[in-house]
Amino acid sequence: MANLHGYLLLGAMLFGLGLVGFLARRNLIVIFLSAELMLQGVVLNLVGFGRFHRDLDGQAFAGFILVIAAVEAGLGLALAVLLLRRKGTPDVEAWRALRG
Amino acid sequence: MRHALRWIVMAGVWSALAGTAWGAEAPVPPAESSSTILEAIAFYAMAAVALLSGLAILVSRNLVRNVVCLLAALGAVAGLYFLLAANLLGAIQLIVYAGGTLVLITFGVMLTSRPGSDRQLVRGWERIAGGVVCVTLFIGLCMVLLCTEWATVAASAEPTTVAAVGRALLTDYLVPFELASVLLLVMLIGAAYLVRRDGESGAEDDADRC
Repeated sequence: MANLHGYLLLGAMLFGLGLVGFLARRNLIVIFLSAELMLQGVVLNLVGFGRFHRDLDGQAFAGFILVIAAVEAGLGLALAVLLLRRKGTPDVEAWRALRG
Repeated sequence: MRHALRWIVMAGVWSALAGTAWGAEAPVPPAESSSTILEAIAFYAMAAVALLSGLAILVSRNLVRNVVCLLAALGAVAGLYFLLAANLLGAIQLIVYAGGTLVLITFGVMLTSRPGSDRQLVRGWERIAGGVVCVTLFIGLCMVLLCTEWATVAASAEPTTVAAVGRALLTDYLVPFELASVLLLVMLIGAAYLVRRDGESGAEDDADRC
């Protein structure tokens, strides 16, 4: 099963797990970790397609996604620290007023 | 629970190391050969570690434990990159992601963790709605990717793709490559601007320090 289907399925599972955590947990940091897990699923898809189609676009895009993830980690954590300083809790419920 | 997590983390680290050794030894095994079984075993092991760590992130209530589980998941996925003959990407994953980003996240956890945690899950109807969304999306994804006949090419024979990826980054993807560096600079400045204390400007801060 270590073929393209296996890698795509694993990517989908990682994405699904990350999505569940993203939607169900309330701690900012855990939501953030779940987003990282979703990104891993997506990158796994890209690299798998690149491997089994024998071109390098998948790996190049995956590298850019890693850069984006690093940027997201830096800015997201800065925002998390800022929000925590304002409200004193990492709970997203404290920011319900932000919904449209 | 604690022992199980320790084993998962150990397995993640070891799978990453094994994947590294694999990538160094036999980077691109031909599709139909005796190494296919080994490849399948490695794939299953690392997939299991990644999924278990993801599940542990989902259910664990301890933030530090969540981060360590993410470390195991990242290590396992890096091993999968090595299996996919993406040596450079696996190394970048281990160095930048598992080494750099995760340390950053650990700092974030240390800065934001408070004793006496609150409720961990969203409200009831939100939980149900989120579950419906996740299950629907996952089933849809699985149906699409299992029912489609993906056109695949036989695995290539070159031992490593590092040189080719580097060449692609500096020719075909030169503009996004440079934009990524600008993006990193913007992130550094933005993060430093965001977390400064209220009523404190950079010039005064420097003056104070001098």
